[in-house]
Amino acid sequence: MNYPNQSVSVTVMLPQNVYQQAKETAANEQQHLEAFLSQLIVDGLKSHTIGKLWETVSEQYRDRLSQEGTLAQSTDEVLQTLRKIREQVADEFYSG
Amino acid sequence: MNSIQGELIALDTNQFIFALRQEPLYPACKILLWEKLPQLKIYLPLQVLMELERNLTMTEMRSLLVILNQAKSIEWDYTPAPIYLIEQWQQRGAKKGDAVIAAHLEAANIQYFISENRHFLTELPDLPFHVLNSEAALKALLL
Repeated sequence: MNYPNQSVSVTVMLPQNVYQQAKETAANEQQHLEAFLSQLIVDGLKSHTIGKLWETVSEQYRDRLSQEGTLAQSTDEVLQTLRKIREQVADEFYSG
Repeated sequence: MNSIQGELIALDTNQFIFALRQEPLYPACKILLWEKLPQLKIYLPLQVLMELERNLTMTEMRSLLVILNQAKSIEWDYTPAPIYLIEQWQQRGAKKGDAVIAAHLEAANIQYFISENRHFLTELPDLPFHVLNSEAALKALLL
């Protein structure tokens, strides 16, 4: 059985200069090198996952705008549309 | 300029839309949301949520919400903005929609609003929060 919070030991090969940089950064931040590298991997994996999610939804969104003919709108046109929607929402929701 | 690291910040609808469009004139919107999201503590007022719903399909909205849950923290505010504050901001010259946003942020005591909407700075005097564009927000994140 796998336990999600259980730690496993892994061995990775790093270029000497990267290792040195990590060592110095960890020391500057008063962290143990092992904990520092572990956190870097956790953060990096999270960023990577978020990037993939953004790529997917952005592609879907841009495809839809392309089909609707609004992908090529200028930024000013987009901002103008957003301002119009803001007023519509406010008028509808806070009417009276 | 103070650092926004660790501060609860509100993002305008245009930040999400430009990040999704990958708008070349505002590349910082994409960097802020695609790369810096785990560092951000986000406050999302009802007005922005409703505007996003108008712009996105249900599937796109669902995906965006999944992504936003990856932020350092996220506070969804489903409470309508206080009417008396909306009226105060309208009396001070704000359009109704901008008055709603200002009222939300004032009521929630939010210090930073990230937006490419320059009207906030030009039409509203003495705002109780700082308005930064995405480029300035990125710099403030690194301070």
